Amino acid sequence: MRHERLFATIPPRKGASKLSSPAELAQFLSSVERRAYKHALYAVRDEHTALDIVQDAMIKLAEKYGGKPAAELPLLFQRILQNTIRDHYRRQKVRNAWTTLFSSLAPKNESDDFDPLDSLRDEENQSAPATPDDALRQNQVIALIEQALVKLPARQREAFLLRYWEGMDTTETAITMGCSEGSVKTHCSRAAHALAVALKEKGVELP
Amino acid sequence: MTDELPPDKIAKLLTQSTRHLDSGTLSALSNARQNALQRQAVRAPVLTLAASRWAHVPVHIPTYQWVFAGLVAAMLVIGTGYWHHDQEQQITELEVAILTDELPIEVFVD
Repeated sequence: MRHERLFATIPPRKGASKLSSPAELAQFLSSVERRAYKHALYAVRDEHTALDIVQDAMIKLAEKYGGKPAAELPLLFQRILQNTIRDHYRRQKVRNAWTTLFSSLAPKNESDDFDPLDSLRDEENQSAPATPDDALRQNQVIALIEQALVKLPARQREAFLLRYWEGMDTTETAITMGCSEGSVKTHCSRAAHALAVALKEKGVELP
Repeated sequence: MTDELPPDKIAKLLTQSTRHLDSGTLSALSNARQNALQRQAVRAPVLTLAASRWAHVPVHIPTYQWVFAGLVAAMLVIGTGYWHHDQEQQITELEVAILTDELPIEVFVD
């Protein structure tokens, strides 16, 4: 099974000799669960499915690698999460092959309810908008970014999020994605380009 | 230029977005975490190597390895017993032949 071979492909990090305690695992899961949910949500576009995927990934990590050193957990968890998302894609593909015999797929029309934004004014403190207007603008920009992310090809989105959101280096991203470092660089470059184009079309320019 | 997109700023905004998850989602994530923690692998030491630098490292041996080791041990015992019995049988036949003075010609040829 893939998860049984997973740990062998991940090189140990420096200072990774100490095994993780239940408290450390709890702290780790608590620190990544929201981002993991967003990862899954961007991939599958369904809240309940995304929650299921995150729970599956958490359980797999705890059951199979719960005793591994705490320093190994982030890479292990990300790989398990991405594999779980891919498993979902495979199952969905099989399901779709049957359901398309009886019904056509309903395309998801992205609604553009709000106007494009020029930029964020609050350059000094993006995480805490000064006024409700700024907060609204920020939420709208976030929504536009999320829409653009959802439209990216899966591998590009995966590479971009792992590399820039999870803060992994190219090697770690390549291990997590199961591809070469060159592929990671290509995916990241294309994703950044596609995001920039998509956001510019919406009139969004990040400061 | 489209290449001027700053990924770190996008990452910050995405992190900001995780702070606005609804309570139902947060509750579901908390439940998922608790479920996972309840299933965390608890590894009780089965066998501990003593008097070495690995003395503090528990050695975990799965059941199938115990079964395999048992089979190997049983085969060794049976094989040794068979070989021993066969040797005794040959010696006995030789002794009988000597006593009855009916040694085969091959014994003298060699």
